[in-house]
Amino acid sequence: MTVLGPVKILAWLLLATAGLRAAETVSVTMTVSPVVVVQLSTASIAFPEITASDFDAGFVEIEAAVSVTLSSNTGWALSVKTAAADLGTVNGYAKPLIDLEWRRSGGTYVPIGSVDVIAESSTQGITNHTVVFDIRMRLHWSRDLPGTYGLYLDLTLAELAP
Amino acid sequence: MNHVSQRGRRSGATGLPTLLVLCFLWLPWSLLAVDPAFTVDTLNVTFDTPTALTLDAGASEIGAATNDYALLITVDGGDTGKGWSLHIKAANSLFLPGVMAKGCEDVRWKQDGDGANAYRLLTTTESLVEARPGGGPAIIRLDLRMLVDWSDPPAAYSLDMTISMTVDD
Repeated sequence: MTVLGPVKILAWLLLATAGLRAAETVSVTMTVSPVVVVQLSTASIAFPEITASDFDAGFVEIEAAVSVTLSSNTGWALSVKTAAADLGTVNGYAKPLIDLEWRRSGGTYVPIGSVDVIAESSTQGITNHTVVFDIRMRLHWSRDLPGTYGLYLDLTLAELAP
Repeated sequence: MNHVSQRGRRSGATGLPTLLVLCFLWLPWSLLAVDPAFTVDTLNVTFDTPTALTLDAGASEIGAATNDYALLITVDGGDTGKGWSLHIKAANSLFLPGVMAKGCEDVRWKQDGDGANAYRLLTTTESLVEARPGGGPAIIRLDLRMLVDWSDPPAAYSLDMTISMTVDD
């Protein structure tokens, strides 16, 4: 009995391993970092030659002046500002920043400023989303001297912390 | 008296090993044979951090080229001649962190050398990778593809994948 005991146990173990299963666990990992991509439709915007009727109207406008196409896999904010102090100086006259206004198409014009103003934002990722901007230049018979004015617009796409 | 007692103990000590040797010889040799088994070359498959191009493409792949692979499985057929089958499944339906709700089906697998349209979904149900009813050794190379696009929020994603072998009776 003492001899057959271990044999029987071994045989039983063998039967128990019939249809044996063995397994390995493999971990699949991927680190996804924040990714934002922005593309502009144009790098420069030129107003047409200003006419008397433009001065009479008080402004000249370009609709769909620039389009921003963006993709982001996280929350994002598209903002507008300028680092310039004014629209340029001609013969000592500095055309003020508030004379240049912008809006998202269909929105309300606001003057350009030196602080980021969010044009559009989302807490979700997005693909190939296009934001269209209109711009408008205020004109004044009384103070706008003949000359060339301009500035750099900063369009910034930033990720929003989740 | 003392001398006799020592002899008696020696006799008893040699008797038991003799019995064990006899038992060992009596066992069918099949009891000592080696069943099929397998090993994997890594326990962690890491995809590259996706770029904007990857997110535009919608997937990242390990093993796109022939003879390049994500996972190497080596099957030792053993010496019993038993058939075996190898399966794959996801241990969970969602990647960690679960709050991102990235499904295990975003992982696709295929054997290296198969065409790109051979990729199959990784699910929580076992899928057959390879079966050898006649037994024998095998080298199996798996390619992996991870679906990833702009809708995947930033995170360190991980998912356990189980490779299992069933040995025929």
